[in-house]
Amino acid sequence: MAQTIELEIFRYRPEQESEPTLQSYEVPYNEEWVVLDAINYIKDEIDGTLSYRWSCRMGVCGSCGMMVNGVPRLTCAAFLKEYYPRKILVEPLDGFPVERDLVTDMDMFVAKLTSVSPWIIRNEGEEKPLEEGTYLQSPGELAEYKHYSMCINCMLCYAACPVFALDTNFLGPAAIAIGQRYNMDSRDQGRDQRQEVIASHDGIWHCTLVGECSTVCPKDVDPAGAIQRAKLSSTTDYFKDLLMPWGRRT
Amino acid sequence: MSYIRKVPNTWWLKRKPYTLFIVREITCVAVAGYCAFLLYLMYALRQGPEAYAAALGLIMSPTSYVLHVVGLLFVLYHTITWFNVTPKVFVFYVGEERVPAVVVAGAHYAGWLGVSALVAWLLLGTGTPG
Amino acid sequence: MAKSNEPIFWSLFSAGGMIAALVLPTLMVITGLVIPHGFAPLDALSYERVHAVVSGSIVVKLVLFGVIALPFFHWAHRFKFTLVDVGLRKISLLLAVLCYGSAIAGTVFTAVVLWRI
Ligand code: SF4
Ligand code: FES
Repeated sequence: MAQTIELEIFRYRPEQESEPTLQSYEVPYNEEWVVLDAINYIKDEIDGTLSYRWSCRMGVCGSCGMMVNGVPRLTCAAFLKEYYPRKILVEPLDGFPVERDLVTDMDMFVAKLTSVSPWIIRNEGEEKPLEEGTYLQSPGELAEYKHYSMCINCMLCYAACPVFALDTNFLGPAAIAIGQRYNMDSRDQGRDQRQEVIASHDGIWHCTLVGECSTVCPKDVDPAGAIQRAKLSSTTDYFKDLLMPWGRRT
Repeated sequence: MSYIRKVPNTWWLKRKPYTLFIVREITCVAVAGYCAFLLYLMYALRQGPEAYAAALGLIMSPTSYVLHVVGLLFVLYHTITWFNVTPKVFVFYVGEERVPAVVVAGAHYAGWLGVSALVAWLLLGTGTPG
Repeated sequence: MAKSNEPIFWSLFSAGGMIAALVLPTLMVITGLVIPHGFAPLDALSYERVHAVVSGSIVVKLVLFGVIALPFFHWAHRFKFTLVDVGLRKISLLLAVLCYGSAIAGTVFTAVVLWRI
């Protein structure tokens, strides 16, 4: 006797409906399956019209994030057995506009990410010439930013953030964590430039430290921590500027 | 056209972590309430002995008892959640090793213990009045 | 991008939160439980004793000022954000004025009262 599990899936097909609906599917229950396997089963065997994103099936590409029973998860890392025999509700990531079914419009995220200049910036003329080789870094210097660099841009942290859902102007967890990833890098000199975005009103200051971004992050990036540290250092800058306006270049 | 989902104002009731977050934020009312009471005491202290005695006498009333107990629960929740996030704000390195989060939070708890003992001693432990 | 003045509010919020976390529980235990239950006499906080200590020392006044006023800013910051989060975003500027305004008023009042003791 084959066991089954019910999946309730958020459907939105703009050409045929103006409001999203939920559609139920009964799929075979398999202990080893993750939610993504069940969704792939639906797509292959039951309903080819279902749209969603995925790629690596091993938690590195960051494209299969969805709300699973209200919690942002990588569906390739969320096992059916965590939910069985309850039914599973699958929705697109919270906070983002829905393009179709489980596919969200991530332009907003990409724009935020780009705004923090996520690359190593060197001062004019201080770029090391190629023939002089690489920039050296000690293990301690690496440790400063390494966990931030683990981010896979899955946007689960955004989907967990009520502040972002309520006001999408907020720069948001991953973008700030990635900005900090470069700010903390001993090879980088771009902090002043990034602060224009990070320390601005829509940068870190909307954050009320709900902390769920860090809880749901599959890579232990701890964006909430990154934001608090940015608040502290931006505040230090602010008062330094106030007390010694001549002290910093700008 | 993309569909934008509205966030209901009750979003914080949907999941426990969000509810606890709102509880944590709302502890600020107890914090300010108690400080307002302290301010009132100081105001009465400035008015003179009778006014002060009347104000201080309030703490013996049942209303005050209930307010204190409820307020204390909220303030304790504030204290605990506050110290627990300190490692997110304060990050230290000793040599190349990051000081573990429990140590950072633990130091705050130890400080709390010290301050509490000091406050209790100052208010209750210094022997004869005056 | 415009420079944000949030660091002022955030640092006051944080300082107030830290003070509240450190000293309020004990104070509340004393005025709410220890004395009402009779474990210590009400006289421990008698007018003579408290007045002598407060009026005699600027340091005591400063400490009291910090303990009373900074948590007002802690409240203002959190309360404003909470109201915004549960649906009052449209009037967030008004809320900011009301909340921080109350905290400032409370602070001034605290300073005046303590100064005159
Ligand atoms: S910080 Fe974590 S949750 Fe957010 S995008 Fe990066 S990996 Fe995903
Ligand atoms: S499919 Fe790549 S992270 Fe899940």
